[in-house]
Amino acid sequence: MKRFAWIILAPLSVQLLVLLAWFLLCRYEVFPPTLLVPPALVWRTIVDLWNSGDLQTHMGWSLRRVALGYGIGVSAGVAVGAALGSSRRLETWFGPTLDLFKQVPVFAWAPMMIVLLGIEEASKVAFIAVACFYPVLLNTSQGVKGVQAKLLEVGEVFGLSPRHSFLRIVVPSALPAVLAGMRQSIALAWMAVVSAELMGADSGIGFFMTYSRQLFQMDGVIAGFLLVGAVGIATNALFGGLQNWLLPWIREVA
Amino acid sequence: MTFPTTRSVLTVVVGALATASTAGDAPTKEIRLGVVGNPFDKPVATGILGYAQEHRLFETEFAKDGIAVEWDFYKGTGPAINEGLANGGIDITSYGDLPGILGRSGGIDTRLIVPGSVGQNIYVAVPPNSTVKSLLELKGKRIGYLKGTYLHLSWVRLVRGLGLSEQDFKVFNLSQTEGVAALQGGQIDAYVGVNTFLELADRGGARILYATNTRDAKAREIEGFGVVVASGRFLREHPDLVQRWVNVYVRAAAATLDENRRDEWIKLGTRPGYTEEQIRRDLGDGSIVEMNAPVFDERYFSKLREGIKASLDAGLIRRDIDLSQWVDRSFLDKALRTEASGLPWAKGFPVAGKSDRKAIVAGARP
Repeated sequence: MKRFAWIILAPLSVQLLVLLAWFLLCRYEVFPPTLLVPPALVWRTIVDLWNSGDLQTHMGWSLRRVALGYGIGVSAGVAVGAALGSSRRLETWFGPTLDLFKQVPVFAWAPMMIVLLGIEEASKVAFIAVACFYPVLLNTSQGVKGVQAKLLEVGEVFGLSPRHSFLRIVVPSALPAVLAGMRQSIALAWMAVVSAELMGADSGIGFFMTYSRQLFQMDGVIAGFLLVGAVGIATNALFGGLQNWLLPWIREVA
Repeated sequence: MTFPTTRSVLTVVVGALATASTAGDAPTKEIRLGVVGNPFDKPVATGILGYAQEHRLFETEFAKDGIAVEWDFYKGTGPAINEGLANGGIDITSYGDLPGILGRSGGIDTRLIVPGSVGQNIYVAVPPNSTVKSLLELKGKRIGYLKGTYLHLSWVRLVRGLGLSEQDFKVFNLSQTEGVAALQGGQIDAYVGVNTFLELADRGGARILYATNTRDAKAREIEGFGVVVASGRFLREHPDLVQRWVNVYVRAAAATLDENRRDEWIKLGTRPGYTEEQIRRDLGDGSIVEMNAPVFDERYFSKLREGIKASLDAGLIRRDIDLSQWVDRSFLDKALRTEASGLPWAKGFPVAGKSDRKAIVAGARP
């Protein structure tokens, strides 16, 4: 119980300190108040955005893009990763090429995505999918490769069919690595959607931040900044919970 | 949470405050001008400021006091200039109607000291192979422009006239360079930009669907205008410098605003890299005197009031602007008496676009 309280209180105290610093920086106008907007005003902006429904609309668009891009990127990553992890030959053929594309920073993909897929949804979803693909691919192929040969042999002795051996041995062994990749990817997906929307969009939380900046509404920029952070923390926590639920044998210490 | 942490936070705060206060007391070594960048990325201004820059009028005026004049060109145009004003990096700037309104409404301490020109054109361009024939057909389509610029507000006025609002389009925030690429790549259905589209259209790279260079009554309602503002702090600390700056500005205006010397005005417009043809067509048969005269008259105030109201109505600003607080006409009124007395335009104009051009030509300085 004591430990639990500490886990909650320690980060909370740091966050309160940051808030206090923000408040003081505004109170003494270290930065112009038009640029660094006081916390109370930003809070009011968030409430206004919620009441007008703008927050839900923009957040909805961003989350929709993340869901689609993440879904596609993770599915592809798991499929390709499992294939490469289980077949030497496939890895020899395709590994180096995939590695080549991996070297390209994800942001460098954006202009090409826009040229090829247009400025609307498809390019954003593809951008997010690419960002999510590699961590899942890497983790999955490592996870599948890491399945202990001993276990597979035991399965063979017990006469498990290939399908059963896959479901009973490979999947549980590789799952921790796959989930770790998925967790990395969800954070990347969220970063990717915001940057995709910063580059060219007519909706979404990243767009809202650019728009606010162009209209010199810094409260909107800071509100967007905080909301992006909050959603990031929420999805990360969600994934922590998912990991604990699916892999009860590997208790994760947050 | 420990004591040293609190103390170091306070040290930083106090240190920053101390720096800020000493900075204010130091005598000025330079006047920092914020200028809207151009698509050519050349550090040269056009119009009245262009003339002053070309002839080093500000530099000469302030050189005797050892004050340098710094010209900073903002590639991000109006919105970037607002950030420069807010962080104290600009003393005086000349920029568009909407950014000026956004800055003031957003709490930046600016004072409008000289009217900018009215008659800033917008061009709505579509891809050359586009089948779109009217603005109404663009409803629901992908439109690009740089938000927070005068083009944005002119677009809002334009679509309002069609019974539409900004929300009836998919709007992408793109710079002119990005916009041209997106237009040609078919990524967007239209782009709202400046007169470089005249040339692009000639080369077959775009088709102009609508432009205000017709200078008809409707166009004069859509066109943008400019504001020349000083930072409130600079104005309070150095009213004398502001007065001298405005004097020079009016002198430059007196030297350039003459319908008989239209060609020279057009040459000023070509400084960044626009072609003469482009400037000529952009100007149309608009009166350079009426559009650029730095006078606080009904022509300008009606534009200013309309611009603020349009921004409020479209939800671009959330707070109204009290003109009596924003406009400080004392510097200009004084400068007009000393630098432009006897010039007919110094008396001002009734309402934009309604003036008789012949009368102005006749009244030009002999």
